[in-house]
Amino acid sequence: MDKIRFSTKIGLGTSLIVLLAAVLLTFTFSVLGTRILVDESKKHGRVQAENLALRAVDPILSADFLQLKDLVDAVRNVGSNVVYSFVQDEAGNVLAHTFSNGFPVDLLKANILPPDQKLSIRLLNNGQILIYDFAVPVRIGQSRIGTVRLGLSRTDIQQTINELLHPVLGVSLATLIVAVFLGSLFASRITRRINDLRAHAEALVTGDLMAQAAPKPTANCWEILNCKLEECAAYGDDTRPCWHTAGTRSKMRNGTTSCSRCPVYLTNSGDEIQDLAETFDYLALTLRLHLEELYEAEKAMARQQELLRTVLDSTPDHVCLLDRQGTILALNRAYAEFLGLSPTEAVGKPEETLLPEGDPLNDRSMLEVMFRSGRIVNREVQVVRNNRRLWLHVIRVPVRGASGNITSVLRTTRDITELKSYQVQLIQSQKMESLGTMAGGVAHEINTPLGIILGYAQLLLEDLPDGNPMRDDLRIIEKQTQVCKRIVAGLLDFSRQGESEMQGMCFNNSIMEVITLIRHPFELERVYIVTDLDDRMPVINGNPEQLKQVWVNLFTNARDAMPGGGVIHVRSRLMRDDGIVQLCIADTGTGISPGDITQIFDPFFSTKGVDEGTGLGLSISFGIIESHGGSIVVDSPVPLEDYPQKPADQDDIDYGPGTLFTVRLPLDCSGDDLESL
Amino acid sequence: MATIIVLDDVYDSGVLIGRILSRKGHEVTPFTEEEEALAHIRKNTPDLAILDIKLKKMNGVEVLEEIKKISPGTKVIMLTGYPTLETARESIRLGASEYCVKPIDKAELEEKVAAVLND
Repeated sequence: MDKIRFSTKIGLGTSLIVLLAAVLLTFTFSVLGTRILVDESKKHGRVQAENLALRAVDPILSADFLQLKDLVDAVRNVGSNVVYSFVQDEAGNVLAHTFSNGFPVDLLKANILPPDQKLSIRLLNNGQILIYDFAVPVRIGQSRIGTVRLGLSRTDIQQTINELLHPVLGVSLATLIVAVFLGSLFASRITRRINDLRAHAEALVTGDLMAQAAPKPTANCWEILNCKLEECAAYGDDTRPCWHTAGTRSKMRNGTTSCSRCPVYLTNSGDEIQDLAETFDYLALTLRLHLEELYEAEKAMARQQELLRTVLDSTPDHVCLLDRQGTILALNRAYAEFLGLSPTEAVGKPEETLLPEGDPLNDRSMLEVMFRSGRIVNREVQVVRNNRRLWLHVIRVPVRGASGNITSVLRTTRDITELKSYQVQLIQSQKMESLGTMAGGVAHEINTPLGIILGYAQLLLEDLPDGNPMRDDLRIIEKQTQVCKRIVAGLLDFSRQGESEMQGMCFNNSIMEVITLIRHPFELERVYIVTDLDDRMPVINGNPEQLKQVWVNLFTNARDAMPGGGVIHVRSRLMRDDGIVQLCIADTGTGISPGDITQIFDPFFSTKGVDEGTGLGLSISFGIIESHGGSIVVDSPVPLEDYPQKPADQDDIDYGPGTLFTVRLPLDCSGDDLESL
Repeated sequence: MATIIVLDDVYDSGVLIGRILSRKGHEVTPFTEEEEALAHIRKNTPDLAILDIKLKKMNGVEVLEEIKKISPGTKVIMLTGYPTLETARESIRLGASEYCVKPIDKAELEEKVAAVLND
């Protein structure tokens, strides 16, 4: 049933209704007509029978059978539907009849009139037709002298009815044809509009949101209302009725708040299908607006994603998103480059297969802990990458999905090795500052008693004659007091660096003066100095004597670290953008052990023999550089790129891991030296 | 032969300088109190005053300034266990003849005293 076309359904429905109506009408007409005609026929038959009974009295009494015969024949001839008539006497004998082929005897018993009854009607079947048989008494007063019988053809009555039914059936058929035609016409119009709507809906589905389903308004609202509201959204829009336009400003006329009484609505509104079409148009408009908003939002989101991607890709930090199994869901360019893959190659791979075993970042258990606890984990770890020991600051943040469950973990890794080294330097500076203060105080307090010991020892030496054995003891006291004096003087030097005289000085000259002085004695010990000085070196603001003391300390330490000879590589670089000048002194000596490297600037720390140094040289150098606003750092072993080039003619020298001291001093920006150089 | 006073907050130190310089024929009076030393100078106008910078109440530079007021002819040698550029510069500006650092060697002291007195 659902597969039958709508127009067919309407046509069929209309036809069935009309057909049913015709059948019912015909049936009703037939029943009623038959009943009326039968009743009328019965009345007619009765009247004829009674009339015959009255007229038959005299002939019966006079036994005038010919007259009786004329009477029954007259009745038979008058009514076209009278089949027969006959008269019986009191005893039931037939006195006259209309049968030409002999009287059917059975007919007498077919309708016997009881004595006290005035009429008896029976429907008889003679095998050919149906007959209403009327029996009426012939009376004189109360005496019954005979019976009149009259037969009326029931079949003729039916024929009459049938003749009446023919036009009725014809009218019904004509009505049926007209109804089917009009129904089909109506159905086709309805289905055409429904098909239009369906086509419009299909257009909407395929994305054509500009398709118009409803007809344009016959008259525009601003013309009907004669308004000039140009700011109204409906003004100038002749494609859709104003009651579907949000933001119409026209006030309802007659104070009504409903569109149903507005003249614009009354003019332009249509039937339900037009309403449906307008609703479709409104739906399309709303969809279009929502889609435009959606497209805009999509574009904005794409821009945001691009921005986020750019931000993530521009950071040197390693950023990646991991699921519970440690699979990489997303990562930034820096991390992908570190892993040696493209970002698309890395996504979907288990991270543990890409990182070296034992790497602190390769920690599945940590992921599990994070998924369970949901806490942010913030750690600093030390790793070895490309044979370099690095400090990494690792932040792991759980990422939650829409349901609030943790779906992944975002891990950011930042290389803080440099920051760590600055922290170490800062701690070292603070340590040295407090040590300096303390050393100054101690030196001051010791100086006076030391002076007294030295003075009295010298006085006693003067008093004792030559050859007295006590003189040797006193000389030892004097000698050791002199050692103490030198130590105290060193401590004082270390503590009072900021109080020295500063002046403009040439950095290169300061170094070259020292190198000129020491080059020869060093070469005697097979220690060769190679210089690579930046010839653009500007003037710095410093104390030449103190800085020379620093260079001497550094060169001496380098030489002492190369007892079998070696190379000292001296390189200076102007770093104008950073406002500093940098000096690197690298040697090929024995290097400094990791345990010692954090202590080498501490006062009295020395790896040399008892009589070979006071352990104050690097402390004093540190203090001098600090007082110049600079920094001094140490690296051991020397990084490959800074390792001195070995001389070709000195193959027998045993080269060690070496030590690199890097001194940075601020440029003197007070004058025009920078520009002149 | 000259008259010398030594002002040092440590008595032994003043006595030692006195012992060293007495052997060279000088008349040395050690003091530990600034007021006593200044009173002595006011009365006796010595040829030389050897002043420690760190004293009990005043500092050596202030005493130097005071000495130069009350006895401009008295020469002054500053002697300190904690030399600084400021005190050195200030001492020279106020008329000190020498600025020495403790612990001073006996020979060095004799040499500097002789040089100042002969100047």
